Amino acid sequence: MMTVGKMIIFARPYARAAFEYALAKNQLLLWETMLTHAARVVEDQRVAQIIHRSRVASSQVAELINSILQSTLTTEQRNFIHLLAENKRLLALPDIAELFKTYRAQHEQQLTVEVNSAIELSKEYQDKLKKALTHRLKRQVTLQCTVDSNLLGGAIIRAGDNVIDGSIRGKLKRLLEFI
Amino acid sequence: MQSMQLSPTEISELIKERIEKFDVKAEMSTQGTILSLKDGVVRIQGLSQVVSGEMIKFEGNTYGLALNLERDYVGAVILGRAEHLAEGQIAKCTGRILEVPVGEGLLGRVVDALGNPIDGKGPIESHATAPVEKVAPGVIFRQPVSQPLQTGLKSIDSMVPIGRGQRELIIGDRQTGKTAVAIDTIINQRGTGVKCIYVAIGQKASSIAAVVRKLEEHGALAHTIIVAAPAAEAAALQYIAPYSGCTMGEYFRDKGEDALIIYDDLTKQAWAYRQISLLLRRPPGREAYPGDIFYLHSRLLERASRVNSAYVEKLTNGEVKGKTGSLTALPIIETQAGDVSAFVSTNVISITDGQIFLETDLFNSGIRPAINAGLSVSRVGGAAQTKLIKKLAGGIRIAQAQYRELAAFSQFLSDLDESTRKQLERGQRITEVMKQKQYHPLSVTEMAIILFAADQGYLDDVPLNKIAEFEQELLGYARVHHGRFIDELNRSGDYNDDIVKNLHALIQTFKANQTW
Repeated sequence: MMTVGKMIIFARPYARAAFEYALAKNQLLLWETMLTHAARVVEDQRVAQIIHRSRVASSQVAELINSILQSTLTTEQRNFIHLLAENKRLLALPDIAELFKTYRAQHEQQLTVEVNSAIELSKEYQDKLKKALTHRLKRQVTLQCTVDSNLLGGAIIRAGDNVIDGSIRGKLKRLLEFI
Repeated sequence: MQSMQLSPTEISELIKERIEKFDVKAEMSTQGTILSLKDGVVRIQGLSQVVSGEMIKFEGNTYGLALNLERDYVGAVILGRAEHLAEGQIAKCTGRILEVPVGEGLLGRVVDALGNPIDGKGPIESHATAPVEKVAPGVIFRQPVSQPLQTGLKSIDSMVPIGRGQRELIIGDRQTGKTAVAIDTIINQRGTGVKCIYVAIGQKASSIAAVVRKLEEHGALAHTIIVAAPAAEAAALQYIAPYSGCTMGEYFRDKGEDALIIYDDLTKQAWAYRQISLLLRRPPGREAYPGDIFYLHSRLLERASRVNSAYVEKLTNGEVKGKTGSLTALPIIETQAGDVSAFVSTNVISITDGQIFLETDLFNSGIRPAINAGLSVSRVGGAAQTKLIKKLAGGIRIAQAQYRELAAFSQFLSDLDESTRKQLERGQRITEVMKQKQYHPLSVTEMAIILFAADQGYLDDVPLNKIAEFEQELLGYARVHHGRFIDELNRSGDYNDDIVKNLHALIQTFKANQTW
């Protein structure tokens, strides 16, 4: 499930542009890594302070970020950061990174499904679950399994917005509301 | 509250029964999280499969209505209290649109906008629910209005008659007797088989309680459903209360029965809808109302109609044949300082099939019901009157309107020509006749008797301030000595030479024997 930041409206066109470029150049993973790092840089308090200072020229801010990210950047990626700095949208980077990840997952038909179960699931069971979910959701499924004994039994399976609650705790709660 | 105490074994038996009925399956739902919660409006992130108008379930069995489907979030209004909700909580799609219970089990009860009982008389016995928002019957399924809906008020049944399936607006300033007209109409439906629904929107809870008590006193509660969304309720509930009431009324209409629904008042529903729309950040239009304020009322009032027997047969799966159904609506609008040209007022006037215009000046000068004959009209008119009343009341409205225009000349009574003076005197007498006490509805024949007396000049020698007394005595005499004639005429509503002769004889005998 994606968290929505305040800047999502501004982030969208940039994320779209970056994704289409990366897709055309077959550099999806490269761009995703770069955006994730850049997002983390921007979230740092000290960098955020500098961004907020209007006296600093946009090109200087861009250079600062690029230098932090160091030489792993391609020219186009450098330009991207410059563009963001010029338009004063550097703080949208976390949302851009999130959106990019979503687009990539959609493109590669990948889906991460969170499985929260009461007891640890055996490898065999996990594989069975993966196969069933892949068939049902028509996507490549990666399972993210966690254990929570508070569920008392059963499991909660979360795929994006859709949730299947088969836990004992959930059933008891519904029973209580029913009575 | 139950008067008998349940023993512990009985309680555990009840619980066991309930548990057995419980369907123990995994629950599949689309979920979202609450982003923000402000003034009864919730922003939810996620819920990618939500549809417009869907019911959303929050924590603690609270429901909301998804009204704004935006790109990044869903805007929903909460149907009820919001104190226990918080940011970050889970919101689930239910896949259902808003529904309320319908059926005979609701008669005699007071419910809230969602159909939950609030009169403390136990749960409602209802075996069916119906959606709150429904499409009105199409053109093919409708039938022209031809049956009268008797309000029991002389001024209305003679001058602006209402038919079953009509929409007649009651419009006026505050304290002009709008609710009184509505309540008298409900009381007069006792024994006629017409089911009544009174929807109270945005009123004081004490006023609603007073209405309930009055209806009970006059034996009218048994055929009435009261839907209450008082001023303390959430704006969303005040917004949907009229639709819930309409759904309950449509149940009777679709069964081939007649129903009457009163919306008291639609102005407050418009305010509630304006509040919700502004909080959902929808662009405000004229008088800050949202752009679809007309649609708010038009789709509500279009559902009040008369439907033909083919429609009834279709909806009851062939069980009820040859009967037409109807839902009559009496919406109430409150004006400020008599301004009928305000936005919402003009909207509703253009939607309804006529209006009853109540004026403060008339009310204060003792004319109650304070109906302005000139501005009031019923677009169904004579088609919804019994032959008896149509013959006797034809032309009264126009005559009264003309009389009021002439009334300024009444100061110069002695200086006028004969015909004008006669017109004024007749107008004054008719005005006196049209006055009526609250909670005293008249039957068709009783109305006919007094109208006949006025029309034939039997009142010309009665002083103006004694006319009310005269009427009371005349009707009392008629009920005692001519009871059978009254019942017979009530049933037939006919008008012929025999009946005219009987009426003449009745009044002449009365006048001869009494001290008039």
